Amino acid sequence: MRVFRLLNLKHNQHAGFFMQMMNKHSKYSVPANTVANTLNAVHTANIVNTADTASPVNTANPANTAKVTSATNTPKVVNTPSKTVSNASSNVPRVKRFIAALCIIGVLPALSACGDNFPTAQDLRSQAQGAGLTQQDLAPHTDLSGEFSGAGASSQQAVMESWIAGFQASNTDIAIGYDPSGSGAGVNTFLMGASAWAGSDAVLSDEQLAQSSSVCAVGQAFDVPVMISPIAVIVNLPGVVGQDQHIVMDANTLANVFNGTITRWNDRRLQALNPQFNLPDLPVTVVHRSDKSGTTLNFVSYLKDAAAGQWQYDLSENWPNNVGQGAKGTSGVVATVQQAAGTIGYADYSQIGKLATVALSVNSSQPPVAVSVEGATKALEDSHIDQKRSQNNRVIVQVNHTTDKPGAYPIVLVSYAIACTQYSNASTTQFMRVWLDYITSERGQALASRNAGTAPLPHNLRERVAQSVQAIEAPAAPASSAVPDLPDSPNNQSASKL
Amino acid sequence: MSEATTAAPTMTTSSEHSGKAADTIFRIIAKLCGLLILATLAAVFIFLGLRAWPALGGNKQEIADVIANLTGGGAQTFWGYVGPLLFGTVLVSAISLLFAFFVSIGIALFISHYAPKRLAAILSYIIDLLAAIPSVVYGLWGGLVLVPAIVPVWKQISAVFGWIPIFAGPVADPSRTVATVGIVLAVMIMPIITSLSRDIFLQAPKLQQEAALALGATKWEMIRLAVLPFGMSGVISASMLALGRALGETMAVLMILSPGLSYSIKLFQASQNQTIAANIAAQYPEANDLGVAVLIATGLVLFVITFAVNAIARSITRKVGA
Repeated sequence: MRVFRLLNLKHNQHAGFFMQMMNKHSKYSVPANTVANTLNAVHTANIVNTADTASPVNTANPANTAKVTSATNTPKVVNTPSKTVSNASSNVPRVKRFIAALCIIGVLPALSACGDNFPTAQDLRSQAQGAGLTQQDLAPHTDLSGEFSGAGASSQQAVMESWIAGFQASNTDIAIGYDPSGSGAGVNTFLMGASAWAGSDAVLSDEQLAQSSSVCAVGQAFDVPVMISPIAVIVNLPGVVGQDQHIVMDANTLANVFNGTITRWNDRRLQALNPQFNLPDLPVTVVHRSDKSGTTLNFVSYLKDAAAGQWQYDLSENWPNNVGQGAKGTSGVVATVQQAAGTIGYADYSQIGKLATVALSVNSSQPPVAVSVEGATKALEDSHIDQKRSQNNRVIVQVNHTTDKPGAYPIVLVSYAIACTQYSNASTTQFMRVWLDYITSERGQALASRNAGTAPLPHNLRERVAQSVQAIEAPAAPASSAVPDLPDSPNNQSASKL
Repeated sequence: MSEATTAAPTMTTSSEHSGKAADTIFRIIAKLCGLLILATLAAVFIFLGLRAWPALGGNKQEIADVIANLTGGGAQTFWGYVGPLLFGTVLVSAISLLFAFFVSIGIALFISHYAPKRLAAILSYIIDLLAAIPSVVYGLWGGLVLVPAIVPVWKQISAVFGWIPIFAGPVADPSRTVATVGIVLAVMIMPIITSLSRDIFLQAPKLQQEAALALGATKWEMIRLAVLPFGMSGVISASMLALGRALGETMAVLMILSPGLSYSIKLFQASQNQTIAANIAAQYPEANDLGVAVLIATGLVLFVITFAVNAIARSITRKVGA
């Protein structure tokens, strides 16, 4: 590069200057005639000086010596200070080569340890503690071992991480992985037999159900809800800030905003619902998902159920119209809404940060309901299970979007785990029984709620899910299925009952 | 030369032998390298063709279903799907080339003819550094910094020139539009055009430049008479190289643009266009086998278009250079 060439030029011209500097600081006196001798002397002085405390010469010279000698970096080693200047020029390269070889050989074992990532039992328990898990969060111990993996919805990533930490801490011989590759990709992976279960925002279609009989040892696969997450409608409006201020909308108005009928914030329909604000004259910018998403599917199915007159589009994981802007992923929607005033979008409640949200006016006799985890659970309590598709252990929830239970927030995302009742591999069957037991149990749901901001499964739904999970054959009971202790720690001592 | 060899004694020395051998070997190696490139190109084309075949020649109903699935009902046939994508790709690349071309020539002329030597060296270094920045970083910068910041500029232009269809409002806020992507892409392709043009302008014949000056031309006239005509074919091939990069740019477009599927030229509005490369990156994770085939088929269309653009560029440079 030209800059270094310039420097080089400078060095040759100013070799005399450096010689003088060197003479002042080093123990060796150097002959003043040849540049080569100068360079060698400076270089040797460098080696000598690294054995002593750092000297000004070192800070002045490194660039020049590094460039001019064109050798590999001088290793930090105490070279024999008794080397004379005259011998330095021939011996130094060989010594350096030897040292460099030693370093490489020494580093190889360290590098080879990088591949093996399996944590020890102690590591897992400390990790669990570090993640804030207490005794009550952990799964019961089993004697199973092996590696099991799931794949699917990215919306389940946070809850899966909590559950994996809680499960592995008490079952150190089991390694669990979850690949948040997307609902469609995860179901495909499961149907190919490459994963033990799939996480999906949408239930299996009929063809996928038929296809699953090739991968399950007995019968077809089934879906059970494992995660409930409220979907917040986020807004960015000047004057509406913080968690207690909400724009109020009812289902029809919401549908009108998202289908492009209402185009300005000071529209009289919006103003009528929000007498507490003086809504600004800004254009409404709708932000939706540009990729296929279960959040979109659940949001538009709410609009279709609650505001059928205003929302005529078919249900799909793709956003159906061209209103506003599309962003990729939940984080894309949140970032876009944050970037400009007058934007409105929908996203998973746990990831909206500090954005203001819309409170839904479900019913004129009740106050508007703001988005909350408890509100989502209440809406699920009031929902039904799809009876037409309840054969073979499937538990498919039909969220009651028109619920008028007080405090219920009806826009929720229900995410499922898809598994077989019996696998060709017995240990996978046993693992799935224990795993699904744990993640749908009260303690698993409470852990997920605490760590990932999801709503715990309501009691009635949990019982129904437990029935399906118990159809999977359980492993033989181990000698002790108690939850092993976590090492003593402040977390453990202050643990509260969940 | 033949006279010299017949006059001299016909005893070939070992150095001549090795010289001949080295010459043959080098010729073979050079030929192999050239063939390797052709083979690679052919392999890419064959791969694209084979993997895209189910989407082009397969069951029409299945293909229509898959495309409807990918677009949420926006398109039903393959050409209905790839047409707007192709239009979007060409539009975004053309805009970025328009922004970058004149600025790059200006920078190259400044470096070669106007700047003092030190400044020219530093400027060249900085331009080369710009070329080394990864596209993801450009995408992040564009998406997080440029998009909110450039809204007032677009609003001003739309206020004054809004009667021209391409500048029609309302301006999208945040501005995740073709205009903003065009700017980011222009910054990305500018180093390519600049460094190649600078090298070409530095090689413009000094004699002609001095002759122009001697005849009384101003510096600008000298450049127009002696430097630009000389360098034009090289500058155009540099621009085609840059256009190739812009046509295939994925990450920056993916992170900035709000996609749509229409033949629209409204630069300041969002959700109008999408490029082929960004579309493949966005749809690939969730696509099934036939969906992947459809996406590869759109990639094949991009490949053919890039080929065509390069062929047009070559014919232009041949005409200009001749």
